[in-house]
Amino acid sequence: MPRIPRGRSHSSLPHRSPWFTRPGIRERIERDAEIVVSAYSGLALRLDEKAGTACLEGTLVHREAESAIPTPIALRIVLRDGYPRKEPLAYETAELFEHGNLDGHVLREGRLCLWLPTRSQWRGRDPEHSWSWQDRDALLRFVDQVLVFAERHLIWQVTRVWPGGESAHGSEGYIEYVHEILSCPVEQLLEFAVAFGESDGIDPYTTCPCGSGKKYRFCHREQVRALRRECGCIGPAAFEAYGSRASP
Amino acid sequence: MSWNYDRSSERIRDHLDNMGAIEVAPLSRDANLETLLTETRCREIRGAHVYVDVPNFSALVTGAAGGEMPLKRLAQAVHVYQREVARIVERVELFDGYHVHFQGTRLHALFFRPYEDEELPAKAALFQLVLRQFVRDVFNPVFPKVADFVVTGGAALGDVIGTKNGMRAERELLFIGRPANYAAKVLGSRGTLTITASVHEVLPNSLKRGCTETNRKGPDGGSVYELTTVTGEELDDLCDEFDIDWDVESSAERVEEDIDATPLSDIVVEDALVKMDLDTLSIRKNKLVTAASLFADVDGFTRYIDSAESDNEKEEALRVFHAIRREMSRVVRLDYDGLHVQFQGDRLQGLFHMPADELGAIVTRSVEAAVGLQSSMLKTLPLHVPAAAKLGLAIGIDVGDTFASKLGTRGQRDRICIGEPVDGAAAAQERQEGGIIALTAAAYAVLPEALQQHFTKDETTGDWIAKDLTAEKLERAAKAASYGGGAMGVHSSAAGAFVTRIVGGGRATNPARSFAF
Repeated sequence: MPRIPRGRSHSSLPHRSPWFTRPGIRERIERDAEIVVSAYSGLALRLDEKAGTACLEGTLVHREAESAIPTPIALRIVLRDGYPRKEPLAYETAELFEHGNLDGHVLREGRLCLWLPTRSQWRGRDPEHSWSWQDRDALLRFVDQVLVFAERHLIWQVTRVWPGGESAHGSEGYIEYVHEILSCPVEQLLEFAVAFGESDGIDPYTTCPCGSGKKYRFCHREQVRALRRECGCIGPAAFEAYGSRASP
Repeated sequence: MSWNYDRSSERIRDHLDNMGAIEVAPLSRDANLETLLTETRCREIRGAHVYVDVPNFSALVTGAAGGEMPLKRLAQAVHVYQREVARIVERVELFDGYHVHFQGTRLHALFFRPYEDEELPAKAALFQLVLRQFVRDVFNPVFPKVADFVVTGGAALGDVIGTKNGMRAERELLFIGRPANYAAKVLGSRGTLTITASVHEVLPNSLKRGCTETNRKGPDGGSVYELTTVTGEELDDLCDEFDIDWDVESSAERVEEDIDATPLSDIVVEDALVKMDLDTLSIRKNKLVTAASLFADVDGFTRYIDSAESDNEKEEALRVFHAIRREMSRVVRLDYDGLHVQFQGDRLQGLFHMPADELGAIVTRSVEAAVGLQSSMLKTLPLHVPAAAKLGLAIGIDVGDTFASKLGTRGQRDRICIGEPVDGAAAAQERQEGGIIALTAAAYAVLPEALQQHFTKDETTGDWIAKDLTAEKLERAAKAASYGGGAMGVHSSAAGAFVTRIVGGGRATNPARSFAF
């Protein structure tokens, strides 16, 4: 951060170019946006150089397949510094959706929780999906996911049951993910819990909690470290809560 | 076929585009309302509106449903009753009034003149007394095997707007405004004849003497008066005073002639294996079907029309009225293949009886039609007539044995459906406000679970109700199962985007496992 010389305000600082004016980025954004707008004409690209923000904004009209009833959904797809590698964020801006109701997978500010970050399709991390930000039509695929998410939220508003798969909320969602990757019984998962604290709390030379009989160092340690990098720290209380719910 | 946003919107727009300018003017000459009134030529008519009902006809349908002769007797009684009552209303030497229509066995009659006529309120009261006498001394004695009928009545006085809508043979005269509505609403319990304060205030003393104030209040908060029993001699004197040439003997003769003209052997009451054409029914050809009755009422419309003061406001209110009613009829007939029985002011009566005797499928169809009606009211009508957004539809549905026929001879004829489910559906509708679909317990019980889930029990009324239930909600609930696995097809165009279970033609998108921080 440059020091501000005495007597000069931020506004009098030399104008700093926004992130999206870096070589190749603006072109990529404009190309991706063109693909999206050709499919969703209600959305438009907005690049605000002064504010340094880039987003696709407007109304996506969702129609029911049979009755054809239109439901206009006000959206903002925010492209962040680091795009396209960094995943966009999707917001519903007219409060048609229930903001802050986590069962509807919408955060308080209207952000749509499309997926667990560790399963991000944008980052190509969901083994069930075969696209990522590197694909030419990645942003269109992302908006398609937003449309599918929107329909699921509208269904949820009627039935109060989220249609299709969902991860558990908060830390539990991450533990669920860890559990799936480690693919072990709950009791063993709970033994791994100490590895997800501030530091890896499992002695590398003790027997691995998986029950293989090998030393932890030569068994699950690298996999657990990778998971810890993906999921961040998870407190033991969250594991215990997960364990008590998951145990029969 | 089911309700569709684009189709609904298009037909409403076409109807309004082709409607032409509406003209509302005071009725200035004595005229045949049938030929004078059209959808756009409307008249303000000052008159007395009378509703007279024979509530126990409905219970007789249930009682007679098991036997051929009781059904034939019932059919004969209904038709003979209607014919003599229509004569009493319309004959010049009798009441010289206008029989608007029969709503089942409930008559709506209008006494009007294009000028101030002090005798109109007297006719409204006296007509009820005459009908009570007719039923007691003529009708019941000639139908001894049919349970004794009792007459219930109500009358109100004031200005209404007369209009007409419907297509070709389905054209129906309609009167909208407070008096037409209030007369029906002050109908009391069995055997009571009532009038509103508007009629009572201007009654001649000879009739006023026979009125007592009840502890009921009319829809406007005003007093409701009951006409007390008069003797035969007193009634004769009143008829003489108001120059009504009615007496028991001549009425009995006409009834005997009607019975002789249509003996029981000529009457057929049969079930319907294909969709009925109500217009082919008559005194000789009647139907008894298992059917779902549907009543859809535009809640708040009387208030809306009464609040229209200038000519422009009245014309706009009538445009709204015609648009709503035409669309209601089309939803029932075209989108859900139901029968439009009749309009009753701003209320539609519909009937669903196919597939024959399949109770669950019949009620499902009627509920889907109710959802279609709500969809038009909430989604498409406000696009073209913004005032519709301030109104709501209250809908009632019941199911069971229903007698269907067409009353009258030549000229104006009335499609009727009688039975406890008809009354049950009407009552369920009347208990609810705009935006509600109300099912009786019998209708709810036979509904598939997928539809039942949208209804909750109203502990006050015992009905099963759904608020603002529109087509997209049914569709969304039904679609939930599609998200069980596999890719969905995303389709997008300038008109909007939609998702299908089958990918064909769309962009394959695997629904992500949603999360929340």
